[in-house]
Amino acid sequence: MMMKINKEKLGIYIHIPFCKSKCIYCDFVSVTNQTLIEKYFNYLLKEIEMYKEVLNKFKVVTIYFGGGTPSLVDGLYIEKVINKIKEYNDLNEILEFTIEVNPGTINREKLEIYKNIGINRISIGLQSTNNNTLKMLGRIHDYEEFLESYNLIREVGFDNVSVDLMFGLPSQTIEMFESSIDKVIKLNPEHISAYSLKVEESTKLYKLIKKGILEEPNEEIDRNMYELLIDKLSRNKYNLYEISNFSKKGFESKHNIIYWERENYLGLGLAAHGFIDNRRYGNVISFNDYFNIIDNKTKPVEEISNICEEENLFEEIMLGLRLSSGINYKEINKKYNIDFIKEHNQEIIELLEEEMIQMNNDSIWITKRGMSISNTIITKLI
Amino acid sequence: MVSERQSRIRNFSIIAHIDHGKSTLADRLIETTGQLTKREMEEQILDTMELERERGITIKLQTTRLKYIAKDGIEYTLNLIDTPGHVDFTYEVSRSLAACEGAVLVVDASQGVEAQTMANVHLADEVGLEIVPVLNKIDLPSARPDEIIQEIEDDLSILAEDAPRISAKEGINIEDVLEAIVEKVPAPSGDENKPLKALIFDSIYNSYTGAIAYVRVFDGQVKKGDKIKMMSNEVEYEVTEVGIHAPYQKKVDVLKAGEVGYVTASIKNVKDCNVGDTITNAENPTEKPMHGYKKVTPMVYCGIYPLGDQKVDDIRDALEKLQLNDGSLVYEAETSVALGYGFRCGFLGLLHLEIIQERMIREFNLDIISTSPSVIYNVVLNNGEKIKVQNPSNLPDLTLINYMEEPIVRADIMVLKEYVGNVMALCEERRGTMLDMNYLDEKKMMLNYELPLNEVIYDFFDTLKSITKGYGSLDYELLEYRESDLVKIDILINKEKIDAFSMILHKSSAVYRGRRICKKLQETIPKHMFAIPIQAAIGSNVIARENVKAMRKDVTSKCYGGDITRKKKLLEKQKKGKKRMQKFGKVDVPQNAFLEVLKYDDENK
Repeated sequence: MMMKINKEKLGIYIHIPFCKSKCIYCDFVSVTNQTLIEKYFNYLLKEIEMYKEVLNKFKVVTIYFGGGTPSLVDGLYIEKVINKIKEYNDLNEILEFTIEVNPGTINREKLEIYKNIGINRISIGLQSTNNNTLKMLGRIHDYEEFLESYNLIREVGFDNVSVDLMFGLPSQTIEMFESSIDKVIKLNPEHISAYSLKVEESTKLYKLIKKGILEEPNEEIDRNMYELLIDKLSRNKYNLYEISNFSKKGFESKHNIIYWERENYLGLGLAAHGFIDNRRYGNVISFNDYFNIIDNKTKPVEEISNICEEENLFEEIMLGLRLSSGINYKEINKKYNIDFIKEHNQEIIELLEEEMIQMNNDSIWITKRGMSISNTIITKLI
Repeated sequence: MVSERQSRIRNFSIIAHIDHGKSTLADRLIETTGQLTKREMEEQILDTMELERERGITIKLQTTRLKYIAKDGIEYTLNLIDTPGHVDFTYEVSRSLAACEGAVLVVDASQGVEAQTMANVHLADEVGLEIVPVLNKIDLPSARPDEIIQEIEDDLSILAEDAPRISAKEGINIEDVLEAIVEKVPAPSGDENKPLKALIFDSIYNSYTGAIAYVRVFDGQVKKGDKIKMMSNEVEYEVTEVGIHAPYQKKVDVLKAGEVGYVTASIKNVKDCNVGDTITNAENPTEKPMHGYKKVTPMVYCGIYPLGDQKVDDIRDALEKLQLNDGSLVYEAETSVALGYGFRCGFLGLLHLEIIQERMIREFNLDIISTSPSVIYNVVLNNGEKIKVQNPSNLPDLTLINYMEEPIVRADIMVLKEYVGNVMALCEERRGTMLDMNYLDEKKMMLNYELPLNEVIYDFFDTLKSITKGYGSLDYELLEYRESDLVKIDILINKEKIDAFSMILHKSSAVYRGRRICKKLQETIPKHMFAIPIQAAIGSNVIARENVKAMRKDVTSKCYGGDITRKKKLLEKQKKGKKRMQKFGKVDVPQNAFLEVLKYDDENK
């Protein structure tokens, strides 16, 4: 057997900023102008070239195509990107390779391409099984189209599928959300992400609420939904492993865990974020900037920050506590030469009293009850 | 005795009702006399403090020397001494007026004589100033100069026939004001050969030169190297510099009788440069210090305590420095069960309190928390002993108390006729007794009330403004102490009594106030992990109660595409917010909560 050099792990995030139409709640960087697709991918390939040292140095374990709607573009574009990466990394040790898809943008041919280039996980956006809700959100599909796409994905042979849901939506009742959960459980995906709606100021949704056309989501109902979600999913063998993520055993998203465990990840494409060698960076968010900067043979990065020791600790706690496995304070003590428990003694006692956290000999984690106010809890422990 | 030198000096202030254009006129005078070029001219240059600008009122005194060649061909030196313009600062007004021979009275040509106009004229009369009336805002379509002149003559008994009709904003007829000053304001008398007698009408602290005294020289002269003495405490110094403001600080060789300027003398201890004190020559002292200064007594007290890691010594330093510029601020060390070591501070009123608090936060960068404001109560114990209580938590056990007295003020409220009903209802609600009510003219009325001070200090002024659409004005002075049925209400947060929130109130308003405080605290205290009961109680009897609901949601559901930085910033901000809180047991209370609960709130009316 050949000896392997012990390289560090790397995840790769690739942003595909194109959508058929913009959903009303979305403040991510994506456009509906599809004439830019070809040019964008040309530049994406150039950007990848600039990271050849990084790609060479690390062992790529996960790839994630996110968006936007990565499935909107021709499968060949995705293939080209992978081939380009393969010029610098053999991708032999890849464990998880995900692409986000939306119903109505995929067909058998596209899925076959995905399969052939090594994609082994599909994340499909459903959000709700209620067609009125989907319409209100500006989704491009109804529930029936979702079912078609979902079944097709299974037919082509993907055995790791994640379904996205949303809750706390305008005029969404507990019953409506419960029905969505039930229907998704019946489909038996390996992974479910469920996000509580956050109304971002730059969105159409925000304007509609301000104008009184849509109802402002109710916090109380939102939390009742979250509790119902945790309850129902856990009874169906879905484990809440992160604030918004549930999975069957062994199907936790390895790529997302890279974020929470502060492993290295490369962000490619418009507005992508990366974390390499203790340095965080964010790419530019305008197409023009992206093209121009790459034309100048420079990486299209606009913010970059070296993470100091103190910030490392801050991040480790903040990100670790998102996971239901929590943080290992014994290791943290050793690593940062501190006494975590002693330094937060009062807060920890209070949090334990309120059953917001639990702890054992080496770890502290946020309870299901605490997940709803995790920011408050984290603030007390950083 | 007026020498030729003195005959060319005029020392004057500008007095006006708020918003009648005092600062604008000051700007214009500086500009017209060419003291500053237009480019240097900043809007309202005399109001230098950021805080003053925001609130549009002058707190710190500023002074400036203007050069003006009058129509008689002679060059005059005009010393403009600015005065603050709020009911809380009558003392500061009186000090600067005493340094002048005359006052320019600015009256809005459409608004006419207002409560503050009268109050200020009264103060100026008391120190014997010549009053030079000026009609401002003559350019406004609503201006009615002839009527207002009549009003000035009738209401104030000041001849106003020849009053300059100006627009400070538009720069119309500004020269007329300068001429009137030269003509009407008497030149300063005093003998430059007599022993030095100089009045400190303001002072500021400077870390390089020590305290800087702003002075008006009445007799004698002062120059660098002179040995001087502060007459209140006999402490001596050697003068390091004398100068004038033009309007920036400018060194001169000597300040002589009749002149206005500044003196530095390496005065290290800020307490040795008291506003109101007289400076004389140590080797050749004058016999008597200046008289006519009202020594003011603080009317409102509150505790100021360090928040978080703030050191109590830093607060002491800040108070010491602020006191240098502000003779009406007093403080002494105290302790609180809830807040630890801090200071009990005395202020002229609630606005004064807020300004000092904000200056401590902004200028001195301090993290502080202040307790519920209180007035001073006289408490007569069963054994006949009489004590003064300015901190409600120091009130002796009720069983030991024979009776209590509270301060009563005489309040003069000027108001337009149509709002009299509202004002009377307000005064009624605040336990007022009407003394008198007069028509000032066809539209305006003057109401005189006796009011308990503790009903006035909290939100009375704001409420008055609100119910009179801004047209009401208030002036008050302490009348006497009177026996009263007072109770102490305690505030319990999460079942814990917070001594810093305790208040002494009249029995009849305790329930109303208690309810309001609980309601306000409910709005002010952020949601916690658990529900927080807030109660107001007299002894063990709960009179009001509210509940801060437990927090249900505070979570970042999605961290998009590994963008950790955004989430980090969010949490850092949240963490920082925490630091501005004071922890009482398990509950975080915002630093401004104590003041906030007493403020006027529109919903209540």
